[in-house]
Amino acid sequence: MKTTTKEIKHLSSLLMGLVLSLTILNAMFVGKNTDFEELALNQETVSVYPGHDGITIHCKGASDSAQCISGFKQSKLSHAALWLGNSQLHAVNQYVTGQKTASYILHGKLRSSDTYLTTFSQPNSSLSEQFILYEYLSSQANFDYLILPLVFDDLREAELRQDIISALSLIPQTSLLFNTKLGRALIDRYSPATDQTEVTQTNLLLRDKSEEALNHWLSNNTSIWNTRSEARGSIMTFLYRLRNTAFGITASTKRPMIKTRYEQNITALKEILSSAEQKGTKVIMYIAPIRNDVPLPYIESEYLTFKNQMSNISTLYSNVLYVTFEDIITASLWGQKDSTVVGGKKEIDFMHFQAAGHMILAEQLFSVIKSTH
Amino acid sequence: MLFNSVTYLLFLFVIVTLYWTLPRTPRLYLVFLSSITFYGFWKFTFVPVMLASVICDYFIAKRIYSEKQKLAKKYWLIISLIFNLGLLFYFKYLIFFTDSAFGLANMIGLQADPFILNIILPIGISFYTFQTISYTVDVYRGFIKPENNFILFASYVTFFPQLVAGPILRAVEVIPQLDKRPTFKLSSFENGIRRIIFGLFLKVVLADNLAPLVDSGFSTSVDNLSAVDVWTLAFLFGFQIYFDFCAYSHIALGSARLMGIQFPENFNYPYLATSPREFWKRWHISLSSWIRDYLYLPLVGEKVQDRSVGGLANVTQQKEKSKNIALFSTWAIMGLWHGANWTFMIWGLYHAICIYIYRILAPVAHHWSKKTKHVCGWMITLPTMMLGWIPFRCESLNDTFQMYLLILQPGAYTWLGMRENVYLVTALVLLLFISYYFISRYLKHFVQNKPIARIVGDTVLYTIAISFTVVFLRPINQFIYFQF
Repeated sequence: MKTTTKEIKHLSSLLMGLVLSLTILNAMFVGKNTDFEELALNQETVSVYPGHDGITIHCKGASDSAQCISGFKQSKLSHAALWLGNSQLHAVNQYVTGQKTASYILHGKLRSSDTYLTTFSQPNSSLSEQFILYEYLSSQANFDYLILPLVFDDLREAELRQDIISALSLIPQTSLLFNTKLGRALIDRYSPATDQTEVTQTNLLLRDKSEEALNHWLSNNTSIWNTRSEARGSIMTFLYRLRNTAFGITASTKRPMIKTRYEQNITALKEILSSAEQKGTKVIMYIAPIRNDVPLPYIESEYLTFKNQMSNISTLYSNVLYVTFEDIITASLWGQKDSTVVGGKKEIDFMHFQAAGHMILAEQLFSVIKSTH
Repeated sequence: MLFNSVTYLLFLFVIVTLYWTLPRTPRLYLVFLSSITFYGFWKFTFVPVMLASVICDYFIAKRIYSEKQKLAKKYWLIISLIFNLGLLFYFKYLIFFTDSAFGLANMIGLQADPFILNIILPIGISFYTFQTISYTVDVYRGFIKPENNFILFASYVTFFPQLVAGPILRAVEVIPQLDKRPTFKLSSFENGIRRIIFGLFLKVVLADNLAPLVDSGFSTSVDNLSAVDVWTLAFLFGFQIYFDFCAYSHIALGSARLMGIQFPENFNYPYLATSPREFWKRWHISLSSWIRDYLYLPLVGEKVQDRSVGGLANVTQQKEKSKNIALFSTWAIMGLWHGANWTFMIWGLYHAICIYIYRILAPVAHHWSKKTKHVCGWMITLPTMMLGWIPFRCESLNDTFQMYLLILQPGAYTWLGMRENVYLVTALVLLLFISYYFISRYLKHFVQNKPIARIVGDTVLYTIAISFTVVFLRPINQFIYFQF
């Protein structure tokens, strides 16, 4: 009898744990739908992906690229321009309804020059990702211009997001991607393995089919299963904030360059420029605007080396025009972002500016492109 | 079927329910057929390969037992070994040895075009092959009698909780348990569920979240890594593979426990080992003891007396030379067992060297106090064992040697090549691992006579583990040891 009581006590812990965990998950995450890719923008900044005459001209990535590409193909303009970049292109600080992004303004201006501009931007987009995206997009359309912002902060990124990984398998074998060391390394790393081990034989196995069916059923019939990605994102965000709080990391904290990632991205840049040169595409490469009335969140010497290196690289290619836009947006046109630490104050946003800043960027770019005609 | 999937959890629920409702014979059929189904969820075409191994050893073991002459017994044993190792060689090593032979031919100037072999490695072949070999050898040695009931024997070899990644079980450990109807015990059942939840937590929350950091680090060109990065990656992969494999073992043990069957433990805090020898008594214990009993001791010429204690034991009264030859041969084979690549061979030899050095140096510390020996031993053993994972994870010999060379260069310690988070996560995992061991020991003692505290503590642990497991449960990565 004593043993039975003990056993029941153990089992009661298990059952209470089960009930508690499901209750907590339900209370914390059900009904929420956070876009974690855009989380860094916070409440101060809004993402805007504009269209022109009902046609999308600014896309998020490979997954929605068909809309942008078909828009260009349907237009009767003679030239095409492609603008790749990070959230600076689609985020407007202190946004007021009706305000326009640089991509929209530049699209309108270039139309008058018989050029159709399509923009693709993803948060923290690295040059490695842009290399793949460029190869993917240029396999579907010929671009006369490629506009490429250079953001020092994004050279700390080296991973590929799912959208870009999906594009890898859609790029034709004739692409430069397959003939470069970096391209092959990225394909090897992110494509499904192709050797003879059983690890590779996972596609469309019975276990995959059953798992898909069960997950589908659980998603449709339980509220918790559907919110698991929300919970995962929230946990990761909490850990990120916890780390920032523990180490006192804010938006203004100086980020050192990461050698391996930096060099991978520089290689990617060179591949983009080579590929564009082969395709006869003119490249406008610019140092992205940054708020500079306060100390930069970079180590100055590294940032200076980066700019010099960009300038030097541009001279290696006949099709590249290099400009620096780092100072074009005045301090008053920048804004703040929510704190990246737990319970902290608002912090300086070094990346996203207000609508007036978008206007300035579009005008500057337009005059540069015009000068290349 | 993957343990870290909803499919498996549903499958287990159905099988366990049926298991406890059926009488002996139908229950055995249920175990056998469910194991075949479990395997078939990967590929049904490879079920016959596994069954061939089962049938072969079922009949050969009986034949060995019935033969009167020692020589005839030996012939039958050799046939069994040729068959089992032949299967393993064909599926696992043919491509490797063919490629190596062509590589060597080209290196010495003979122009040879390699032909392409497309052989799929049947999942779990290394495990069930070792299991059938141990059965036949044990019958040959006279340790056990052959099993007459084919379904019982087949259930032992194919028993789904241990089928694809161990623990490697001896017949004597499992067949008697499968044969008798176990008594249902609520405590055993609760323990099984506890282990499954804990295993899933280790796999989907820890191992799978470390995997992207490890993959990213090891796919970086070695030229872009610093010595600190190499150390970090060694530790990080060391923890990833530990969480991953330990998770598999927990789920395997837990699943068997739900059916009233007890497997021996496969892990015992290996990273707290104070010597390389002790490490192998704590890591993948069933493989270490298998290697010792069926390979190392026969090579040394020592008679096998005990079983499943674990670790490559330091045998006594043998000639140093034969001991060393056996040590290095055993480890080279142990390395190749893990994978058909020279990097695994290097991994094996690395451990052989570690144990060899330990044998030489151990007497030096003989007069040290126990505490000093433990602390110093742990501080040397942990990084040494972690560095051993480099060839295990590297894609090529070139990368392996380059990484080892890096850690010997003082100048390579002056910069960092990876994201700050990687170092932070590694340090945190190491800290948590050690803290968990000591805190859980303390808490176990603390709650011993406090039932309320125990219930509260268990409830909190279950709540955390279940919440995180539900959130992270996705079969995105299969278990690392599935490839062996």
